[in-house]
Amino acid sequence: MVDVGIDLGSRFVKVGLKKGDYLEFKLFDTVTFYRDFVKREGENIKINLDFLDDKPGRVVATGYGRNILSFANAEIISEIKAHFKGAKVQTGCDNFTLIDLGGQDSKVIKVVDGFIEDFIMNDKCAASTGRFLENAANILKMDLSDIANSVENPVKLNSTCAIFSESEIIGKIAEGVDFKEIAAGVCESVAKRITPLVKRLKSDRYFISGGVGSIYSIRYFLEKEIGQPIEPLENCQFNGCIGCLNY
Amino acid sequence: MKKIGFTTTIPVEIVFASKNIPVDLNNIFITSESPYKFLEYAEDDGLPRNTCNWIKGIYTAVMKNSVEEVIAVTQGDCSNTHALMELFENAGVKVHPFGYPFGIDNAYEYLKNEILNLCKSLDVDFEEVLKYKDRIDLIRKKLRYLDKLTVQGKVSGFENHLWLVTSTDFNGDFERYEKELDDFIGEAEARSVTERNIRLGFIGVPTIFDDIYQFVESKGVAVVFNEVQRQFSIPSVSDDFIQRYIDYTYPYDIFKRVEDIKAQIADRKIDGIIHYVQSFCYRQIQDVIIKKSLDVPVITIEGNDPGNIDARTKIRLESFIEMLSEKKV
Repeated sequence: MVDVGIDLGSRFVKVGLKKGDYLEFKLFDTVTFYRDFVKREGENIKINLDFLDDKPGRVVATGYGRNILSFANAEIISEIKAHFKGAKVQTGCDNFTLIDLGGQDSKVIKVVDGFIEDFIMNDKCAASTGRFLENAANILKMDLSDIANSVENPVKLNSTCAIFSESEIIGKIAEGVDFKEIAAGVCESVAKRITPLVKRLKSDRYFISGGVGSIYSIRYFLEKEIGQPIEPLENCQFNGCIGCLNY
Repeated sequence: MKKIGFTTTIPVEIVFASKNIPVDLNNIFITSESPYKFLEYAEDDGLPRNTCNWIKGIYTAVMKNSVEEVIAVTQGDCSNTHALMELFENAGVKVHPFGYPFGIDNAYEYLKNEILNLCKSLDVDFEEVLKYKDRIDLIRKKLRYLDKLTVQGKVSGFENHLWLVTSTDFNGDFERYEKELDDFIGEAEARSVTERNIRLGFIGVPTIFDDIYQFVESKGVAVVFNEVQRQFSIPSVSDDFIQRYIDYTYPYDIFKRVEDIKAQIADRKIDGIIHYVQSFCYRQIQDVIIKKSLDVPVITIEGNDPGNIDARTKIRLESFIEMLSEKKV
């Protein structure tokens, strides 16, 4: 029997499997996951776990859409709870601020004495998230891994809207600006949009998680903005499912 | 007998005393069959997309001839009302301006003057207004009792919202309103008390969402306070009619509101606050002071269009309730 933690993100579905000390992670494209593994059975929606080598034990899920879907074969917990728990387990700390940057979500969670003290989520706008980075990478025809290391001479991107930012990027290309400098500008603009959320939940120690959290240049600009080091969690992208496994 | 609309709460006793029918234009908009159509109408006429939807709703309510004249609150609510007044005048609608005082110097004299001016504008004697005050006071007393029943757990947060928010114009007929209120209170008194672990309060302008109370209350929490709706019911017990509208916190500065909110949090043993803000409303900025001033956790929920709350807002509210529950254990 293997315990299963599932983080249903807007871009990727992260699955954590735990059996004693053994821990394994799997990553699926969200649309593919829903198409292949989520099935309606009468009134219920079920996650088909046939892809596991072992029989599933306890299944706990979180993430985007948990209010839309309620699974017959999984316990559901909130994203805030899952990410808080994951960071607590991964760091062993009781006092910190966690910055979770995902595909469409940015969350900042402040933990004091082992309890959630406060949290903020981005609202109404996805201009500071992974989806924006992906779009920018597509326009620049660069790999995310190239963008991830671009920090020199960031160009200033002013648009408050992710879609308008795209035309701004094209404008910069037309002006002949170096692609790496535009990429650095994209990362700086993401960091600048998250900074006010982080500054509202100040702490002595900062951790970062989520797919975007693993990107070096985002961390670089964010550290510059808040003036403190930000430590990436060991399993950055899988923090939500670690939280589910330990709930 | 004319229907006289108003853009936000005014001393409604004056309209009743003038033998006209008061109409809260916000209620016309939000209780209409399709509030969306009101917004489309206003936008088709050229009102910007990035303007508060309540303003657009009020605009359409007037332009669709729901009322014959309008009392426009020029001070104490948003400055968009100034432009609305101009649009109404341009369309030939008679407008009576009314302003709450800004600042505390001579506030009483200023407000008295505004109230007397409105009386003059509606051709009614102030003495007559005071007679209506005494009559309507009996209803206001019942509303304070209904609010008490909410704290006791016999009236839901949504019911509290509905009764208090409609007390701005008593649905145009205070006699009928009182009868319905009596029936409701009778029914509520007989209910058994629902014990809830977490007690929440709503602050800020009334929400444009249809289902936010139902969603929150379905999570096993009690909503025991509706700040602005309570203020709309004019809870001050001062005998002085003018003073009562000075005690009314909504049109004045945030500090007066914070003082009231803090007192209610303590009295009603509130665990957390939902601060509702309307997109493009100047009151959104006051969130900064609210978060700094209150000692309980505050979650800010922003709404734009009428309708149901979206999945993201649900996640945020649910997480907020979870956070409060875990803190309480």
